[in-house]
Amino acid sequence: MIEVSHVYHDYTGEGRYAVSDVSFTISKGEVFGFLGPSGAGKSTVQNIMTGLLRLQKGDVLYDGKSVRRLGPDFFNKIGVSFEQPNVYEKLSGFENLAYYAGLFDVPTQDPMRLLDMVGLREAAHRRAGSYSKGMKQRLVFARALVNNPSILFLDEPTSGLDPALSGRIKDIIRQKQREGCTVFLTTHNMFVADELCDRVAFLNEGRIVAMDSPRALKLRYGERSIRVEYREDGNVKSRVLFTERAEDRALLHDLIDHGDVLTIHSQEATLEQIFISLTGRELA
Amino acid sequence: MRRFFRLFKQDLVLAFRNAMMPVLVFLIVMMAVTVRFVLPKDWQPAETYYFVDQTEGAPYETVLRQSGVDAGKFLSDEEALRGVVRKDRGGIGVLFTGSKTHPRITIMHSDGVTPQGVNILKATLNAMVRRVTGSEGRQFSGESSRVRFLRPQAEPVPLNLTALPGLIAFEVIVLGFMFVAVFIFQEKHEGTIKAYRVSPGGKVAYVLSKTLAFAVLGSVYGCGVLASTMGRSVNYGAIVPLMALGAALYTLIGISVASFFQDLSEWLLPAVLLLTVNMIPAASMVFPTFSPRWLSYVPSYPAVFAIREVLFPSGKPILPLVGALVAESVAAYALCLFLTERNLMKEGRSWAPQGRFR
Repeated sequence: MIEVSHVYHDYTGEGRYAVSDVSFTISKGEVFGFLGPSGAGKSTVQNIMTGLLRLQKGDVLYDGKSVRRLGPDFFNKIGVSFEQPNVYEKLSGFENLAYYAGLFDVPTQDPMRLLDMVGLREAAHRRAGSYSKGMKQRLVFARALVNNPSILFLDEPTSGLDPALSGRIKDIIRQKQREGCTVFLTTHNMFVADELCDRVAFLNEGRIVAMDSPRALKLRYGERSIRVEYREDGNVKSRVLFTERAEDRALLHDLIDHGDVLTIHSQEATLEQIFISLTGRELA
Repeated sequence: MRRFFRLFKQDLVLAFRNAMMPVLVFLIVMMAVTVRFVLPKDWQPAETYYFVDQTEGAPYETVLRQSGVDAGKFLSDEEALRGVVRKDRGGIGVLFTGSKTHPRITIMHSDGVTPQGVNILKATLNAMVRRVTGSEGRQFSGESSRVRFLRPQAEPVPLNLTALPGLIAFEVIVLGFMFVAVFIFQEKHEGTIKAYRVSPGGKVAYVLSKTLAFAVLGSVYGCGVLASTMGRSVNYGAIVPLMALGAALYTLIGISVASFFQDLSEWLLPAVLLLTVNMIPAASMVFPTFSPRWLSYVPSYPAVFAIREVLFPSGKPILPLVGALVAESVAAYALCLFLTERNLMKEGRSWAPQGRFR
């Protein structure tokens, strides 16, 4: 279990906290999503959790042991995928993974197998500098898996990937979860979070504003809405109407009375809509 | 150890792919061509003396002729002397006028003669005057002063090899200092150092692998230069450890310095200043009269003079120099570990604005 309790971080030393009183727990085998717009403090929290940033206030416990006292063995157990694809550009994809595997004291994955998993087998022996951003992103993701980690920290793992490749990465994450891996997923992509996460936390301006399973958040904060397709002046138009709003209900009745309605579909609120309603900001 | 050698191998691979090898091979070829074909083995300054003795009986001309001065260097009058000095830019004219006992000596020259050179000439001429006038009992044979050698006389160093120890030491130093900085800035730019931080690699393996890589590269480069310039006359068994130690010392200093900066442009000016200071001992080796006491505190001093002693033995004790080099390396290693942990292995505690790391 991972316990993050009352974590603060101040980069400036002037009392301007980038992260303020952040607390949550993650159970073993859980996929926990950390959602927020750029600059909300997501990466700061991840960096504190991985020991990249010095813990200033609060604590992060891994099975009861503070991150302050974790030795090299901790790094044998975690895998970290960064948002910025940070690979040796003068080494090939294969060499990047082989080099990184050599840093661990635990059994590691075959680099070629990992490259195959993320669809980079064909480019295995090309220098990483010639890879596209999406290819580098997949290489960084593969590198995070090289030491068979029991905790995965993934920062925007599907950023810049087309739907097919994004689906492949999501399948691997689900597979790792089935194997008992705990996943801390940092993203501003609500669809990825909705699909993968058991629970999500919304982070805004360094503070957690809501935290629960996506389903529970939708039930608690989402307004029930319907999407209506109707004809107006010979054209087909579409609108989302919220049934709890009097003016939307009146409009819906009006459309039905005049017989202009073509289709009606009920729909639940998205995580993004909930985030906007809670913070007034968009995720992207 | 597996981790250390993996890092070491990777640093060597990156050195090759960073086009470091072609640069080193080019430098070796340039050094070999310069030493073997451009610089002469021996060279004497082209100073020629011309004399006119207008004193009664020309006693000074007689003494000079007896000392073996070529007859062609004696001219008939002052006008001829001025003409030949004007024509021969490296020529120095000496005109004796007045009487034998109270001669007036005029020295003429076209190009600059250093004050030291003029003083030596004056002293020589004064000694000759004293001999001619009988005011000095001793013969004019240079016996008025004696040279006592403190150590057995060393073999004279051929002119084309004079600067070689300094160049070898300095280039090996530059190799470690500069190229490791390039590596670190590349790792910062690519973000790979961040990935390393979340591995069990640690600072010791990080520092030592780079140090060994550049010690090996520095030694290979130094051997290449020595083999192509001095051939088999070098004691490679002694010089290789010295070059490796020098490269290791400056790799450790290079990592320490580079840890404070974000990129090459920020680092360049302080680095050039540091390298310039570390070049001074090499200058002192070429101009031995320049040897202020503080020079021995410059970190490159032991490396420069130990390398010189191995290449051109003069009988000076080498162990204190090697001891100083080892002590410097140990101190630099401790400092490097501290700064690597503080500036490279953790975020948010560097010189650079904190926000950059987010």
